[in-house]
Amino acid sequence: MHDGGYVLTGYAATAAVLAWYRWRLARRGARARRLTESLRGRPSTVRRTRR
Amino acid sequence: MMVIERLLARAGTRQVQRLLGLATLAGLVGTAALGLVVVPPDAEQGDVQRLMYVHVPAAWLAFLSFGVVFVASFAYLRTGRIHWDRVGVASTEIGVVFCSLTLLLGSLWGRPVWGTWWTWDPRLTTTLVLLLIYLGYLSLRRVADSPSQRARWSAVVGVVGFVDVPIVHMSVVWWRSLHQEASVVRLGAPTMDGRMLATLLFATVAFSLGYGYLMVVRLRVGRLEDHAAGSVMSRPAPRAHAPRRPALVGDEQDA
Repeated sequence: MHDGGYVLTGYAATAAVLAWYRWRLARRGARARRLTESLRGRPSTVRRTRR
Repeated sequence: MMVIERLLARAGTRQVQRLLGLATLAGLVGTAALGLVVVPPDAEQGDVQRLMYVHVPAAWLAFLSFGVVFVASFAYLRTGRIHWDRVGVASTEIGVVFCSLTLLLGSLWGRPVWGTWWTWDPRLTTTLVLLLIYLGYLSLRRVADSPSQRARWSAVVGVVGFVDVPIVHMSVVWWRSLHQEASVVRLGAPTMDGRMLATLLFATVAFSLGYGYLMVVRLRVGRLEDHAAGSVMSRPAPRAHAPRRPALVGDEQDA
């Protein structure tokens, strides 16, 4: 595949960027939940969607 | 507006979120399979044209994201409901991700075709300006004093900043540009092979599912962060007349 390096880099970058953003959202959500729990002493009332 | 709010609330359920996530994953894998293996290479550009199947959907989804920001910002300015501010900032973040991806993929495509990673071409420059506008939107939210001020300022930027979207789209028509003109969203029939067009539309659907999935997750994170911020604000303040700690040996040295 001529110029295959650019193409593969592009597809890999797309997957990496989307996966990175999803991971970052998961971390932010977990941090916010921990903060709420530590301050209120009980779990957040915002529904947890992943177990 | 109420209909959109109900749809967003319904999309936040666990089953819908899981389904959207799985559909997005399947769509992106399908896009890679179609774009890298099934569709033949372009007659002129060869294999590097395969980048179109991720570059163009990323650009369209950036436009869609900023369109949603525009609608949510307008709705916030009209109603003052904080829910619209949450929708606006969620869509801005995702739009910034897609817009950055568009510029990155365009750069990767431009290097072998134009012989340069970057040039101050009208399409590229206006897209960079678009990215900077919405990065400004996110930065502005960090300097506002109160949640209502933050929401109002960012709603104004969300409405005014959208002006750049049609400028980006029309830049290849209005000014002399290295970038090719629109092949699909144009007056008249698309100027593209049927298989390439079908793959591009498939990829666009996959990216749109990805946008929906990320929006649902980001809105939930926004609610969690607002809840956490509310918990910080409702913490009991330290007592004004709390007994002072007796001076200890070594305090003077520390001072």
